[in-house]
Amino acid sequence: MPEGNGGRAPQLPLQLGRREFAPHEPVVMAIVNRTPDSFFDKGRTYALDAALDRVDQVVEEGAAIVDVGGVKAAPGDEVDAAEETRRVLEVVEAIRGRHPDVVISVDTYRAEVGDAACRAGADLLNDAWGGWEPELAEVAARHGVGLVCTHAGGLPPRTRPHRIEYDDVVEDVRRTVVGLAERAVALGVPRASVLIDPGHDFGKSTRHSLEITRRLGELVDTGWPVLVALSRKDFVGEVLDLPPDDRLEGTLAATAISALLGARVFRAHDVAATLRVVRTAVAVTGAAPPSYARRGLA
Amino acid sequence: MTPVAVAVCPATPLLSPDVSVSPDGVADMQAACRAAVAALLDATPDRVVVIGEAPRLGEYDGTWDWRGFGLPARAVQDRLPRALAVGAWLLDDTGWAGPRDYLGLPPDTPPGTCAEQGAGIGGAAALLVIGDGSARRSLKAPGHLDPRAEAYDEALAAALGTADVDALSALDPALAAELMVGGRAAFQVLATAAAGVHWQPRLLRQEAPYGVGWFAAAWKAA
Repeated sequence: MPEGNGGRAPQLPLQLGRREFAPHEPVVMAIVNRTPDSFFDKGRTYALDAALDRVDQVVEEGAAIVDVGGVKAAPGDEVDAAEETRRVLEVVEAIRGRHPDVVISVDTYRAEVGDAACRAGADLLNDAWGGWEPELAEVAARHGVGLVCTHAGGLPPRTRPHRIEYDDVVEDVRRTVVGLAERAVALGVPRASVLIDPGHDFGKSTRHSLEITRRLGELVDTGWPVLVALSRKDFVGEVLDLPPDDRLEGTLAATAISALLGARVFRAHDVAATLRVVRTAVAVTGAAPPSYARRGLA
Repeated sequence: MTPVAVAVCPATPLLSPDVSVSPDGVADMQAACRAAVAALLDATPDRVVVIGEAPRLGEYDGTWDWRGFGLPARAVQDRLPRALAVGAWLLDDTGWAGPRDYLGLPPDTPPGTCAEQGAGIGGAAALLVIGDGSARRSLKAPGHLDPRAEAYDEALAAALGTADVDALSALDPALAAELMVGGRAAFQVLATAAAGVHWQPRLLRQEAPYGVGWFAAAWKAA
């Protein structure tokens, strides 16, 4: 039976927090925004109790990781490190008490925020702005937590790409994220806890994001576990000419393709749907069996 | 010499957890078949004869492989037909390392031919009979619902549970074919091979959770 990513670099178990994830185990990272202004939920989970209700719900839906963010990715109101820390820390501390086994990720580019989050119990730092503050990887190393190494095209945090060109976007991504991952390990971040993320839409126009999706296998080939953050992003919107509220199906199509090509962690707003799609895609590859098989076999 | 023990199990690959994956709905029959085969081997036979339906009449050689059902292929050269493969798997699963033979019969084998085959089984053998009742037990059954199927299977279960070899010999091939009974020929081989022995029979389980009559039985020579 043809299996998974045949012929590619072997994938190793992923260790995050108290959890270990086997190479073909679908892992969904649920987005939890402690922000008043993020593009999709527009502040729906900004209040602490709303954020914690969201955490309870996504854990129930099967999210193994929750990714807490205190600053929206796009340009907007300035949020200083103290305010970001306040927003994030309250949630991290509360989650640690309520869900001891869930992997807590914090979406930040600031080393200061990452340090405080790790002290409060975070297991993973999602450095979505591609190592803008090199000290963030040192924080991960010091606390022995995981790190997501992302390609953001070298853009400063919270800026939009403007006429960015790549000779070969996938090669640029590969070189950048592998460099960040190797640096992280050299600094002391546990190798089994380092992920790479091509950074869809970050420093990229739509055709760039489509190409990194199409050629995701080349990133899987590096042997580093690949995280993809696709959920309701503009590249889906531009393909379909639809606003964020109507981008679920497009997101799930890109999710299925990424799973087929070997992505292992899926950052998503829609946890239950994403998990179902990834489980189906992994079963199609033959890497995991169906939940049960009775049809035509009795 | 006459047979020393008999086990009856259904011809479904779902007995293997690799095929079924989740145990829901199949765990009890899997356990009953394991128990039936374990009892068979407890009788310390000099060999095990697996009897089941197959494309041609006669001896088979080979082993089980579920690749026909879409699972990863084993590196085996000769793949047994399904019913015999189920028997082979049960013997492997239970750890039988002694001699074994495989006797296959087309579903339409006449009762007289079945009797000849049964009479030809000699020695202190254990018989592992792989066969089903009707596959027309429910609306969602492989052959849809036939209102006669349940009573048919009840009678079959009674015969298997009491070692009533006369009842097994008398099974009507035409009715069995209509009801998609997947074990009539094998049961009639058993009937002749096991005749004249005083048996202690046990029906371990009888059910049709997916519309196919499944039985697990164990007979021990008294």
